[in-house]
Amino acid sequence: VSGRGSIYEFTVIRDSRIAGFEEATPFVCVAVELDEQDGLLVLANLVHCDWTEASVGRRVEVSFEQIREGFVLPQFVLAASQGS
Amino acid sequence: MYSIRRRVAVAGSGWSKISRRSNCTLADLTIEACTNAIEDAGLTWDHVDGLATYPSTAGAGGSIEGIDTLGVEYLAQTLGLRELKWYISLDRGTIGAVLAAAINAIAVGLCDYAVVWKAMHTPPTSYGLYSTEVARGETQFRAPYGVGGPYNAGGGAVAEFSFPYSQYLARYKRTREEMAPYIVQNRTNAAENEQAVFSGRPITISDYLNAPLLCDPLSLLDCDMPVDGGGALLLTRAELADELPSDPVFVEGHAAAGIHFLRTPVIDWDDMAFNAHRLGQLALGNSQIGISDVESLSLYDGFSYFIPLWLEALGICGPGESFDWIAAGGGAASADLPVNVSGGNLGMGRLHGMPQLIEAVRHVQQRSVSKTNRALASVGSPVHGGGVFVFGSGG
Repeated sequence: VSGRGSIYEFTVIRDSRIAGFEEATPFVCVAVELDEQDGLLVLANLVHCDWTEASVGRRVEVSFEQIREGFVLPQFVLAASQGS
Repeated sequence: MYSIRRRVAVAGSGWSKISRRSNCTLADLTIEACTNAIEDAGLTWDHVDGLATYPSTAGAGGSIEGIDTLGVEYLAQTLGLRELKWYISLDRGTIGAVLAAAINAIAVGLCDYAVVWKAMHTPPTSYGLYSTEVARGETQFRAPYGVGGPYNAGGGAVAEFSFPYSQYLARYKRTREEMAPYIVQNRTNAAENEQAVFSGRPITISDYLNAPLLCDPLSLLDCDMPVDGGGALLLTRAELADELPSDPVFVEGHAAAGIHFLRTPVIDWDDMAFNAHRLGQLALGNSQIGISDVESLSLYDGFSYFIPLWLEALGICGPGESFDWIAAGGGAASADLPVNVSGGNLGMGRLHGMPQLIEAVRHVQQRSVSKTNRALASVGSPVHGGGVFVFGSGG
């Protein structure tokens, strides 16, 4: 897959119950519909932007983020071009 | 063709005391609710030969029988129910799947008098805490991103269930502020209900709009409040119900087959809407009626947006039009088609599907604010074992 898609659904978590995220709030979780297939949803965070920038339909692309030594997560960032 | 329509009756219903925190154990609350349902039917525990429950307390933690969780074995042992002929206890699903099984067991004669209950205990701890640093199985695709889920020890249902609402609002160009009139109406209903946890506590539009957001677009007041309490129904065969002093309510039709079809860790609005529509069509089909024959709606509202979800899935409102319907007075206790007049889960507390089921039964028994002859109740998330039940009067 290309790693490109659109935000299908999202949430802004302001009250995290998961260890390690207490200080991260508010943070954005996105369900991204990948360009390759309708309904193919991938869950990740939208990073490197303000939480207010998340909206359904916005174009995003994958970014492999190193969380700590030896631990990399696929995340999403806003795409440079918002056209499809 | 065999039809289960009107072969089974609900002859009694009952609540325990419902409160934010109870001094009573889950066993006490369960027995109180079940006894009230049995006595409401004019029966005693000696008659009971069927038990059905969905024991999950939704990730509240703990595993002590009678306190944190309570299955059918515990109740049968505690009360010495040696006449027991049938039981079911489902760890996954909802009270809807359990009620459907009990209806079917009564219909085919496996037992004569079945108690179906759902009781909740939420201890004073942080609900839905996810403290492990290791995520396995399905959780590995959620927890590293800060999202829990209803079926792991971490709860996190608010985060998970906030996603579909964002899709609904975006698709139909609605805003979360448009939910306010429904919430105010609902809390007005609950305020009038002595059993509700929010009895005597109506709220205003600005109370709703100023409630803290938990996971956008869901705020605190879009979620049902955890409570201690339980509700129960007493089921029997139609011909046995005729011999009882209570007014029986007949099961016209039911369907409990809510499946999360999407093979992803995310809940999708379309998946929810598809399942809710399918469950409604199945239950109405089994009832041999159309939605226009239904006179009251008791819709599962563990989260506020389940109300537009069910209204639109059942065909009461067009896609995305529920807020307009509600703003025009639709669903009010005095309207032609009242919705959740006893307050639902948002007003009564997190009692899973019991507010809907008991309300619908009492509508048809002419014992509620709204007196109707045919009531529809939906139970649970439509992608997590949800169900739809249609109840009709004796006439």
